[in-house]
Amino acid sequence: MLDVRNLGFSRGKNILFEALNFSLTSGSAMRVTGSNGSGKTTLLRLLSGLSRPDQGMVCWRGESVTKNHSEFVKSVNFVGHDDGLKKQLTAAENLRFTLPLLGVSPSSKEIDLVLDAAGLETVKNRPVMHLSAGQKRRVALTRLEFMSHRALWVLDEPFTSLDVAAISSLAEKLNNHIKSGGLVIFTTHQSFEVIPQAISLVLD
Amino acid sequence: MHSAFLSLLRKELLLAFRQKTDVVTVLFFFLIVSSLFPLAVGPELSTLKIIGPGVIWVGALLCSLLALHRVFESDFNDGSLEHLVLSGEPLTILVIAKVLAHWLVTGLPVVIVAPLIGLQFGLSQASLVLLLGTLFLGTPVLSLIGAIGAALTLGVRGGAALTSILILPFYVPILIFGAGAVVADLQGLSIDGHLSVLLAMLCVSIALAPLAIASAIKIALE
Repeated sequence: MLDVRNLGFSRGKNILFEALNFSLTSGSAMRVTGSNGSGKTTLLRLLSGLSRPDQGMVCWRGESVTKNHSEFVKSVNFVGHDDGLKKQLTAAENLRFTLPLLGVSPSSKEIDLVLDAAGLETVKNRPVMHLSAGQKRRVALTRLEFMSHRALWVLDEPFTSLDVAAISSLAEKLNNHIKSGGLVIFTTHQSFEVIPQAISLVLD
Repeated sequence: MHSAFLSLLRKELLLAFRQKTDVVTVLFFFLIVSSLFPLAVGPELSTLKIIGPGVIWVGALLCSLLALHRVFESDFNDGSLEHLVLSGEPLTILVIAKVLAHWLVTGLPVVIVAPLIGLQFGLSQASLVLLLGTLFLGTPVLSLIGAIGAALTLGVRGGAALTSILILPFYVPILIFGAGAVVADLQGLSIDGHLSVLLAMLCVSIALAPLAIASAIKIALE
């Protein structure tokens, strides 16, 4: 499903990684770990098609991601370091205006239900600028509820700022996506194991 | 595609509505800059009539510059731009929605207010209508060309100043033909050429600028 062949990337003279090879099939997960600056975020950006590699290639369903970019991105759900939320809009408004860009147009009721289930019922109509870092992260991650049609989930530090309950809820969401044939790639600095079946890739 | 375009447009307009001060600041800047000239030049009506269109056009151009850095900067900083690129919708269409929203909140108010400013310069009703028309054709071109500069300087320190330096030379023809149309009309000359060039610039900008903006955004995100 996802093939990484001889992948290499450097910033100036600093080689972040080279000759990286791995394959992931549907219904699997990969946990990317490594020290700060080891290239975890860069790798995720390459895998999601946001950046181009210096060497090698990333293939999705047998096609080069770079060559078939416009089709590939329809299969990707990327959650980066930044939440992609507009601080002047409420949590509900952020979802209402962002999700149609990603190919889904849920009703206000559906959005409310998902936000309520994420424990955001009391703050969903407040401007995001008034939410805590953890709440903002939870709002950003509620998008995953609507992204089951996108097979490849690429998540950069998804557990950061989350409390125990939210981590458990996110882990359940990721496991469900994997069980339904999806593919999850995520970076983490957390020591606990949330997706036991995830293959580990250590960058150093 | 329609849904994504409209959704993004509505989001941008709502954001502008929530940050009213940004919009009002641009409009006040235009009013103040354009109103200072009659005070400085004096009450000589023949002089005011000749410089009026140029002053109003320069004011519109400066307003466009003033608001340009906001087109993509916050999206770049908060990660929204990555969502746009990975949305699966054509990025060229999405950037048109963003530029259109930018013009609606910064360019269109200037177009609407310009005839009122024109009165201070003693412009006739016919000249005011023509001024309105040239601004209506020209200010979207300012937004489209400006957005290319804003996208090219994403993530660059001092990007706002650099954007101005980059795009000001490309603004000059719009300024010449926009203000020139009204002046030519005042002198009894034909304005067909001026309006044709402005219309051509608008058509070319609509066709090509979104491609350039989309490419610049992808480069900035890499």
